[in-house]
Amino acid sequence: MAEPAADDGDGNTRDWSLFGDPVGLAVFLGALALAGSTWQVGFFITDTYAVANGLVNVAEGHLTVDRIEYSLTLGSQPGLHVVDGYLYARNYGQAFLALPAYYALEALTTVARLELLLAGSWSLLVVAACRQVGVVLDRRRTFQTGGSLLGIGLFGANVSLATSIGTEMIGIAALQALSLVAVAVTALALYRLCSRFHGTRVGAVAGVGTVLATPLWFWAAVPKRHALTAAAVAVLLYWFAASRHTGPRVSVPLAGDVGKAVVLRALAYALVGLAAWVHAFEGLLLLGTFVVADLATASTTSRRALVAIAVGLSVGLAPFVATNVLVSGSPAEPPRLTESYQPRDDVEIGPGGAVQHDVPATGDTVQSGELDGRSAESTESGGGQTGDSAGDATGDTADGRSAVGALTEGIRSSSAFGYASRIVTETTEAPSRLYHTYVRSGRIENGVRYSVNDEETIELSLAESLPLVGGLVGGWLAGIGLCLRSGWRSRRGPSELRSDGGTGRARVTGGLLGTIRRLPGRIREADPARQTDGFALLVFAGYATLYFPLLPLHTQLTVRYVLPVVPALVYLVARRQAVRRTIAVATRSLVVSYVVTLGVGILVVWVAFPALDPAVGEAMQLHALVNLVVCVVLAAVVTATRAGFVEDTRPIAAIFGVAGAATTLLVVRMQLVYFEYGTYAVPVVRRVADALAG
Amino acid sequence: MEASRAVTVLSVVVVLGTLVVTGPLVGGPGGATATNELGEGTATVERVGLTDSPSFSPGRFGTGVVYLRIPDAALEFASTSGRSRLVYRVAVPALGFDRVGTAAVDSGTIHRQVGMGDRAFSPDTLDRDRYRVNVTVRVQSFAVDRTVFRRNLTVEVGDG
Repeated sequence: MAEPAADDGDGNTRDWSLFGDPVGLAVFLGALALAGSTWQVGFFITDTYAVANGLVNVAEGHLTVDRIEYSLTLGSQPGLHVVDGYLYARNYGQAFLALPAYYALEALTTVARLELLLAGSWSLLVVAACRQVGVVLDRRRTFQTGGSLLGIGLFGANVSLATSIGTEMIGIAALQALSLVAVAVTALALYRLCSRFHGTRVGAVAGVGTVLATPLWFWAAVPKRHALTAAAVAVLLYWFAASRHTGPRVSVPLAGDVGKAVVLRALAYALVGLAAWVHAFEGLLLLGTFVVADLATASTTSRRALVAIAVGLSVGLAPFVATNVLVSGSPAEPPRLTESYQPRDDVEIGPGGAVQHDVPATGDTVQSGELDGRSAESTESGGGQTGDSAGDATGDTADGRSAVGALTEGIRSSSAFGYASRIVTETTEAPSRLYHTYVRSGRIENGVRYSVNDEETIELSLAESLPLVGGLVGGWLAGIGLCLRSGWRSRRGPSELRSDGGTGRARVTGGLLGTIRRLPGRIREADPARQTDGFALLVFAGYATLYFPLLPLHTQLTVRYVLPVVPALVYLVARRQAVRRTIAVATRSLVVSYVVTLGVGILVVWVAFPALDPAVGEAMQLHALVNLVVCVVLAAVVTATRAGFVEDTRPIAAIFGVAGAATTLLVVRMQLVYFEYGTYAVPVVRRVADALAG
Repeated sequence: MEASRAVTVLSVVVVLGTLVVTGPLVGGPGGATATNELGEGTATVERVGLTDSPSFSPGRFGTGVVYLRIPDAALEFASTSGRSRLVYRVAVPALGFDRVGTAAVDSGTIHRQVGMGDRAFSPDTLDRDRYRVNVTVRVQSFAVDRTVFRRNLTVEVGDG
């Protein structure tokens, strides 16, 4: 996902730079080293088996899954689909993007053991990160020497503690490596985005905070789609922000001299296309939100720019369309929407994992919906027959039925329509759904099947897993309050004038209409930072709507379906005036508060948890309650500071440090204590955690 | 060469060197990675018991479930040789619950505790006042498989 990003700093604007400056590289390396430190090589969610099998088969040169390398039990697995008697994986975007890592691991494991290769790479990553931090702090020699010695020490400890990881695991390891890099790219993009608007400090805190203080760290090593789409959102936000003014002209092969902004926009559309390859619905959502935000705020909509956008989008969508055509025969039908494989179909998986094909049987049973609660991703009525629907539809129109009727029918049976109708019909439950998804989880009686996770109450809400959002809520509350107060003051004027005959009302209405009429112009002329705020909000609203009918749901842990909005939320938090001023002025208080709270937190856990002896669900809910309290306090402090009741920036810095540390404690304990599912790539971290776990 | 660079080069050389030397091409020292495999060991148990009695109690912190709290099994060995393992099994047949916790026993081990996580139940699945809980502890290896502890306990569902 690490496409080149533009350097629009004050220096040489013709340069194309990935990291922007030394701080960017430090954020990237630091994020990767942090996320990698808790990496468990293994499967956490069962439908990852299918994607990993897809990757192994793609690496062998075919899209069809002819060999099952990974499986929990013999037979089917969620995420495996069948078309014309051949098996396919759910997600080829992820599989193809992980190919470079797969081939690299395959080549390197011919000379080195996989477990030592991972531990060695991580140790060298620590060396590089330390050196780069030294460069940033202008103490390169000290940091490089210390980091190198640390790296040797960590590697030695890892070698002595390592347990064997078989080379058959390189498929899943490659997917995990891709996901880890995606999280580091997310941190880098947030650094560049926030430093662009508010300086290096705010950027660096936002970038590092993306890993330390959000659930992205937990999902970094879980190769679901979420970390990838989160990275896409972060990079889109940055490219959106960097392309809001015309900027310098750059020369591009084949196209000649073009505005840099146009190139970035074309790249953004290409990225949206790639996101669709990973998950069609989320790609569509990102396309919709980006088109609206981009066209409403673009510095130019010249023919040339539109052609560039069209080319970018086409290039980005090409792999998605090609995969769809090869798998389902229809360019618009991704493998995910084809029929789920069940063992009773005409394909069998042999004991050795070899897939055996029989003669395709006719009159297959219709499989409706999918496993894992994602029924909304197939059609409402007769989902699973989608394999033939394209052909049937053309047949019907040829029979003489009106084209409009066929179109209506098509829309009605489409999953998008079914989805929209679900959103409408389920609004009656909205308060309870939204409360459990975003505010407080607890035991959610409707919608969550706890039986799949041994009845453990482990599904947290967004505020419980990302207490930083308190900063956003507080900023908005204070903003609304300030607006109301100034609005109330200004309205007192006209109401006194109104005594001279009804013109006040007319003036107000005219004012409202005028405001609406002037809105597009005002949006276009707004500050790029405000325009980016708008895009971030659109992405959040889009994801909240897309997944509204599905949430709350089991196996979400930190509402992982909306994980891609985390970068947007981190950006919006960093943009609050009270927050960014604090980061710029009281960085030291923030860091001290974080470190002290983390230390105290580890101590409290070490002392209290053996006494409490909580079960997994109880421990998760305890974290949830603590985080929720922190979130509320954070909101209150930000509100008070923004409203001018608190002058000092230290309270807000302190509570941000606490929120970050509380989240770090949660996501690290989730990976090292509550959810063990694989072999730790860095066993020395595992050993240290055992000593501290209590 | 500057000292800091020299140390970095050294670290890279150490890592790459170790990777190649222990790798499949050179096939160097084979014992670099630990194994958790079962051996031919055996263990004579001196004393065995549960650290507490199993009980049902309501989940805390808003979990909204009832937990079967499962104590650890504590063992003291008179003698151990080779590598064997402890298999601690707790079952509640009426609830369809059956879970195993294991722990390795190496030669020279004197004390060992083996446990497992508490098990959550949705309150409406617990329709009786008391349940029969079967507990066993076995010592197992390729050489032996011996049950050293067996209890059938009756556990009441507290009204919390």
